[in-house]
Amino acid sequence: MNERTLQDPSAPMKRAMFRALAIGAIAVILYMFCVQPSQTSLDKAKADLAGLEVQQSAMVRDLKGADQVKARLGAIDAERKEFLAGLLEPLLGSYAMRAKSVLDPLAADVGLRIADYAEMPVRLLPLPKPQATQLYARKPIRLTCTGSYATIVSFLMRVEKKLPLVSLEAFSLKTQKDPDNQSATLVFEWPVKGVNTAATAKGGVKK
Amino acid sequence: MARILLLFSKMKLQLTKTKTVEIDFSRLGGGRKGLSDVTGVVLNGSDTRGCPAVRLVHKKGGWHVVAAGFVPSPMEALPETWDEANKSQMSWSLPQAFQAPSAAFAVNSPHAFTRQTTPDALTVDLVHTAPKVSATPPPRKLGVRRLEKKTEPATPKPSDAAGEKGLDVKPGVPSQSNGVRFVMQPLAENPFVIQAGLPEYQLVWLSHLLPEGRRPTVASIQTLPSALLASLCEQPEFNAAGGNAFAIYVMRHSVYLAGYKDGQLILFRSCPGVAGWEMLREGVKLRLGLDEEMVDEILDDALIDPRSAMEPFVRPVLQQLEISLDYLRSRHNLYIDKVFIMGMPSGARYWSQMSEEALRIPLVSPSVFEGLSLPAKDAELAALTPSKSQAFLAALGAARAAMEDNA
Amino acid sequence: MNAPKLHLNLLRDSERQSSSPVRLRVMLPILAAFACLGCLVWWGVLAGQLILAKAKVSSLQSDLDAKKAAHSGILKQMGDARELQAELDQLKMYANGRRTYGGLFKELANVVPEGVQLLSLEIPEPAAQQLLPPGAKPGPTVRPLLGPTNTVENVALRIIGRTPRETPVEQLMKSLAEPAFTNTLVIAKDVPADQISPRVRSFHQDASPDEQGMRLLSFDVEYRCVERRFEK
Repeated sequence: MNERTLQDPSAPMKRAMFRALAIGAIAVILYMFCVQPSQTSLDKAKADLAGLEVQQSAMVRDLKGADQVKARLGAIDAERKEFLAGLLEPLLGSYAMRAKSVLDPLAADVGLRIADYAEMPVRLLPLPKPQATQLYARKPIRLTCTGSYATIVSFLMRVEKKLPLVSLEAFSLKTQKDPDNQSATLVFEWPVKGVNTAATAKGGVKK
Repeated sequence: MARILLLFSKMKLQLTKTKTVEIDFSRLGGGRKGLSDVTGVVLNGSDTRGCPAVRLVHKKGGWHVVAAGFVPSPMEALPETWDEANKSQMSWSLPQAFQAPSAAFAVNSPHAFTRQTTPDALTVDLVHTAPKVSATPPPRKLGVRRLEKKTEPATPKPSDAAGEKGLDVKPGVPSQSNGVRFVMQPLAENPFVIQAGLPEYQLVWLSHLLPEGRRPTVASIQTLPSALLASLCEQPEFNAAGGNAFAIYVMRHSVYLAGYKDGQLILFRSCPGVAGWEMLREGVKLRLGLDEEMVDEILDDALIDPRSAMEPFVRPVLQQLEISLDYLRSRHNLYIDKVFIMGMPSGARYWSQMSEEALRIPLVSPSVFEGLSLPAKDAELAALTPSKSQAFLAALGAARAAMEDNA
Repeated sequence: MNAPKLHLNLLRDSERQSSSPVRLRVMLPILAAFACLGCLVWWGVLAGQLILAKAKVSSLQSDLDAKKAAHSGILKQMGDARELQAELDQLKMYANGRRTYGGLFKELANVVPEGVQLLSLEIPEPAAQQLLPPGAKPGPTVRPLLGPTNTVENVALRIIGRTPRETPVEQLMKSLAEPAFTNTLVIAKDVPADQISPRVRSFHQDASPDEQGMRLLSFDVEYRCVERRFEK
């Protein structure tokens, strides 16, 4: 083969070139319409497969830890229920009445006369991270009572002992001439259910 | 596509700042590089032993004969017409010893011509006119192997008519005219050229004789006389004479004279009215009443002096030799003291004696393989006498001429 | 010796054939066929890989679908656990912010000297919570935060009383510095002025005499109590 062979090819050479071109064209068509689309499909299938494998491994991992999750859920729920037992639930829509129902027996035990129960505005609790859907708050209930200093203090100690979630938020004692009729104002706060952010998002406010 | 392939056919790589290597991809698959291993074969030489063949290799700065012998001829005769060429196309295989990459044919054809002429006088006359050479090939028949030929106008042009007007050709480039393909090379004397030609159909037939993809394939087709011209190139005496020598090539039916100046051909002529060595042997045989088997012995031995029988054949040649030497002396101030006589199977010593007597010039007839290394294992070849080696003269010359790039 | 002009070659270059079995006019179609075959094989391999990949995807998908229900349950439980934990954290924050004062008041009665008459004991209500986002100004478009950013609430105990002289007050204050009270009351002296505890808000003589005609000293002392920290 030399340059003249290429510049002035003989008939067999021309036939060979034509055949080569024709077969080459078939090869190009095969590549463009069969190989490339197949490669693209394969890449996509491999990507899908990789994604599914990741999903599967996560699923298997989660399923393996099912017992642990269940136990943990149980433990959390149990602990939470202890706290929920101490929540102040409204009695016929009134927290004050519920507080009264709880505190009057304790006051009666020590001989304290509680004249009045009044609800005060809710105080919010700081938000934990992550934040729960159901939030909790502090509900102060103010009560006005009269009795001796010792009776009042005894009542306070009784409340603090019997109701472990109730906290004294404010206290005011003005001494009177009659030591058995001291006037005191106590503000106890309870944990209560606060805003439910899921309900709020749907348009309702659940307290 | 050809242009694209050509663009990438050569590549230059810069190895260092000063060294750049060029890679020619067109040489892949057997491109035309300088031939260093060629088998020269004489076709249609009428030798009953077969076709003389010589495989010549050029390596390590020297010339080596790898094999020399006679291979069975592929055909009885060359085709004489296009039709015959189409029908008789064949594939030929050379014996393994001669399976060089390339082959050079020295073709003896009755339709060939080799002559000295001038560019203005280039013609396409063939030596023989019968049978008439057809300018146009016959229509292709189904089932017959199609021959490759160049699509040059088959009908003769008025300008190509023999002798009317010179043909415009380039040296060394084959041209075609009137159904004949020819080539010419300039001689050392301006404006003379040497021209050789063969009928187109014979060349097409010969070019397909050796099949593609197998060793060897044809790299050169020369006429028998033109193949002789390079046969002296590696002769030590020829080189010792500085390439200034004269050669008498006595072939079977013809005698050729060739003058060399500085290794270049300066004169070439066919001896007019002179028969070849076959006629000489016949004359000696008849004159001396010898058997065929005795002729070579008598011509090479000193028992019987055959010069009287040889004289009618030798004298005309010596006359032509004298004229040629005078011509070279007077025209070119060239004094030839080395005259070779090559090609004869026997009788060279008597030729030299007769030349010395007549012209005071001895004729040397060295072995054809003089100056070349022979295969060590071929004792027969090494034992060949100079006379016996003359059978391989044209084959060697054809191979040597084809390896022109390695000179 | 050169033989360039002795070569009368009647063979054209275009008629020369290669002895090499490797012929361009044979190799070109073969190479093209190989390319074609290579593309076919490549396509076949890709098709095989694609079928395998799709089978794997399908198998994986069905496995995932089979496990989906169980996994959804697990995910729900995990979500519930996160939710309940968050609720519990907030409740614990509340619980951690609880302080008891009963003991303080009980012990207080034991340490008030005879010369001191307590007029008032007060733990003031805490300040109002700041629920505006940082940097925001009150307005109809501003949504208050769902919880205060400050987790600390200060508590103070204010003791107001009268005494004929300062010594009983000092005695009282000295008693309140005892360990029985320092669990609840903060005693800090070498601190900036606004953090001193106890802080004597006032100590002055009453303008009007008492029933016996004595002019008493009024004192108003404020103690910082241990702050309420609503933290986990």
